Amino acid sequence: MTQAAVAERWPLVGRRPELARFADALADRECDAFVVHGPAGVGKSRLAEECLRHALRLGCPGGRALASAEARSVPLAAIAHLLPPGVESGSNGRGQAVEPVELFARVKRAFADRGDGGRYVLMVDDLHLLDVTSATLLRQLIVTGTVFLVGAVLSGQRPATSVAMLWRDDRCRRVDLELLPRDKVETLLHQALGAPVDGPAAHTLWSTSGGNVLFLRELVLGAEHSGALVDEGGVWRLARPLTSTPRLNELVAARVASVEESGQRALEMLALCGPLGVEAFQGVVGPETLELLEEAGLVTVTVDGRRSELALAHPLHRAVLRDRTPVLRRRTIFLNLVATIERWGAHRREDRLRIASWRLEATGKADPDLLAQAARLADHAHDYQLVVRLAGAAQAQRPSTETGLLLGRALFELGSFERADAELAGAGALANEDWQLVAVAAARAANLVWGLLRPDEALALNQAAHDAVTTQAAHDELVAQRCWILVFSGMPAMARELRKSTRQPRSSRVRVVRTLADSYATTLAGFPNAGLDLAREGVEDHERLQDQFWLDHPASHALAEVTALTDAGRLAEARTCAAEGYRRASREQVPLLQIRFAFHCGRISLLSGMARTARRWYKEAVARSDATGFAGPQAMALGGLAVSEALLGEVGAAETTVLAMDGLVGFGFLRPERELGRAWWHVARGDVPEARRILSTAAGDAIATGHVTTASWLLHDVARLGRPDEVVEQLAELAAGRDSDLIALRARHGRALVDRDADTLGTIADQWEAMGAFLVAAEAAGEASRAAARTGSARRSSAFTVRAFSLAARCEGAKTPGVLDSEAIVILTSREREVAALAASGIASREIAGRLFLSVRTVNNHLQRAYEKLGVSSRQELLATFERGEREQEEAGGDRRRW
Amino acid sequence: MTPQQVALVQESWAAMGPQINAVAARFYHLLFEADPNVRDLFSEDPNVQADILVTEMALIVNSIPRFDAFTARARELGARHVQYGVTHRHFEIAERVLLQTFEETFGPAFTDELREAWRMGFDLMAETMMQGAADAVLEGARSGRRVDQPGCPEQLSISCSGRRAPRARESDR
Repeated sequence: MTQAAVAERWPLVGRRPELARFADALADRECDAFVVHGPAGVGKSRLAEECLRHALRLGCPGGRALASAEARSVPLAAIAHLLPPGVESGSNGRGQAVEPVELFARVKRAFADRGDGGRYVLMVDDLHLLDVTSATLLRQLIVTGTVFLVGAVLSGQRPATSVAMLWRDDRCRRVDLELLPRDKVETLLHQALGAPVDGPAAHTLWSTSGGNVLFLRELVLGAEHSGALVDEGGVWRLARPLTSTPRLNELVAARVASVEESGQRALEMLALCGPLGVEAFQGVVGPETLELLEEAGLVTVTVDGRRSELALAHPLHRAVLRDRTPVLRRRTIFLNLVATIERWGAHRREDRLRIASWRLEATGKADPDLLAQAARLADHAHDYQLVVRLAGAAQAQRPSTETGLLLGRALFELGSFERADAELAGAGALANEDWQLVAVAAARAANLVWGLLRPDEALALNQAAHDAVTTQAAHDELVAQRCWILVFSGMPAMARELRKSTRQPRSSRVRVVRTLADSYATTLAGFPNAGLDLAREGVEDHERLQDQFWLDHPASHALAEVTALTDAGRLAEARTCAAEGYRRASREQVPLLQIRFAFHCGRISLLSGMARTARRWYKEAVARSDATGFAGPQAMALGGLAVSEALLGEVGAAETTVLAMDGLVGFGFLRPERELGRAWWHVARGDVPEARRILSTAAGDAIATGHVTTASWLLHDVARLGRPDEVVEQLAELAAGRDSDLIALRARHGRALVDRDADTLGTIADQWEAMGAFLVAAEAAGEASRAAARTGSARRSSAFTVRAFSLAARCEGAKTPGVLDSEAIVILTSREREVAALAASGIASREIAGRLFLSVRTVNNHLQRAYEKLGVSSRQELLATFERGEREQEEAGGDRRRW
Repeated sequence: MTPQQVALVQESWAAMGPQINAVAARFYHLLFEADPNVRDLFSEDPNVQADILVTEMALIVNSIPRFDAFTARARELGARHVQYGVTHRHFEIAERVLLQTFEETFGPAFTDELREAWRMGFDLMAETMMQGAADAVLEGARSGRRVDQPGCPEQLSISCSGRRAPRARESDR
């Protein structure tokens, strides 16, 4: 979509009820006017314009007038273009002044002529700014039934009396236009941009615009122009944060300038300091001004018990107002507020915290204890930028372990890994209690494993901390951490060994840390159902835990749950769980979790054979890690992305992806699985033997490191790529004694590929389908078809072929060597198709013969051949095949008949 | 709709498989129950009507990723529906009933996420249909009726309908 296309008029969304009310009003002779009220930018003018268009389409005559502050002082300025020649100048053309009565009579005649017997529909934008003379004239035109008025009025503005008298309340329909709700904003974006918008971008655009259509439009145009909003493979996403545009600044400035000076001061205070109680404005603005601000939709007031709190109504106003307030005035505002709040007693805990952060803003210094507390609150709200500011200031004045931890963890979340490590090392040097040493070790380990990709250092630090602590609980927690490091650096087997050699921890806190690592290690070892139990136990323990400080986000357990469900072959459950996790991570804005959930959504889709969906999720994960600097998870996602691209035949893209993956430093988690990307790239470029070699090597690595499920995936792909004989024994060994249906089915599939028994392969196809893995199911059905053909059973072979196609049709265009290629498509002649279609709808051969002017014998011959080609033996089966075929044809875009 | 929602709608649509006609019939049953007046909008026998719905929905659902095709189809569909007398109120009822039908069909598998995806999909379709309907309120447009405009009135004329609408058209009521 080009810039020009985006810039076109946006569609009208979410305003149909209002438009229907207008149509009712216009049709009602008892009604003279339709007036739209609402805050600025909500779309009043647009709705009024649509109303006019509607009237014009119905054949009514109509026109527009625009009232404005500038034209207000000039009589008749707004409607001058509608008046007969001479009238607007107030003279009759012969240099004599026009009498009011004559003027009205002439104007009325002119409108009546235009109206052609009906009412003339006049749309007046910014009606509240209409000049008095125009209003008087218009009123007479309305009262006499000459004009039907459509007006737009800015709420919070009191129109002059003459304007207010334009319409009689009982003969006017009033509509109060609200801001667009979130779902309508998403629909509007989808329509205006001509493609889906990804979740995070839609959320940002919605929350920044606050449902204000004017702002939304400006934000989108600005973001597109600056390259922040980009179209990636048919999906719009934000590559960079939104920034304001000059036009937006002007819009906001104009809006703010419309209120009096003291009102503007109040808005600045709110922009700088966030929501404030009414008492904060004492001595700055009077209650009437605050009331006007509320009425104008600039501030919102919430009443909580005895307290009334004011906040800026619009997030964009906040940003613009902050930017334009000069530094010295900011300082004054902050210090005045500190004084006011302290005078009022600063009773609440949050008052003290806010005082700390305002003092910091004004003077660069504040009480370090308060700053630390404020940082902790900000950490709780996942506002990591704020944590860095507050904790950074506190550390500069009086360093402490706790604040250093907060700072280091926030820096990690923001992708500043080196700085995070330095801050955490500093925090560790100050630590003297066991819990502090443990917490620092955990934070540094996360940063070293996920951020800096230096797991060896993490292990060394863990050992050092282990030597330094004295209590049993601290020892246990550090051992649990060590398991965690091993799992995420690609050594789950060692993690399991370590776990076996240590006792079950008593402290529930340690159990939470430990079950997380255990769950992964167990799942990866081929026991996903046992891993699932552990993950769920972990969630419960975590939620019961009072002291959640310094622990991973609770959603980490959900990630373990997703991994277990996926590896157990419970794909539908895994998908639901992963999508929910992704939503939660997006809502709470935790980048690493967003990336990891997106990766798992891709992985599940890949196992399902949904190549395009997988590609979308992997791209999401890659884009998010790009934006935040998490190179490790990016490598994981690139591997999956290469597979999905290869399945879609995009050889060039897959090659680029594999190269990008190789350019990243090794990252351990699920490392052998990444080789799938390289292997399938080779498949796409036609080098299947090389692909098999890569898969076999990677499988060896996977087994050695304890990635059993991954090993079965790699070996199963070797079987799918034509050498089941080489891997059938290994697949069986991997499945023996494990608790995963997925691993077991892979082993059975490998065996069936060696045995080449059509019925068994057919059953395998059914089982894959039941699991939701359509691509491998299609391959199994295709293989069953070949096996049946070899035994000379043509009809059964055809039936399997049809089945293979119907399964492959669900794979979004994925192609593998095992999926039947298009030459093998069953093709009915047009006659056969015609006859078969009629037969399928239950019409007897005799009647078909009559309809088509054929003999019954010929009809039966055609039908027989169609049965053979489709591999069916009854009309019911024929009908079922037809219905399936039609459905899939539609799914495939309806562009090709399959038989 | 997010790309994930598009995928969910398409997947769940495909998952209904052969029972889709029964689902469509159920939809009409619930729709007529919710608003008996709606029945008058449909002249066909319910099975034929279900067939039409399934065909149209399949085309719409499958065209979501190709936005131009989707828009053209939905707008055309909206233009047709407005002639039957369908208004925004009917869309609201239809949305409610559609979600109810799916809830019955999928049972617990109709998760909040899936519901949201269908709701957003329906909203996109309904808004596009209503835009198509609005542009087609009257056919056989005559171009050139002058629209009085501030500034330069001569240049700004838009096409509008030729026939003068009766004051109280049924569909406006």
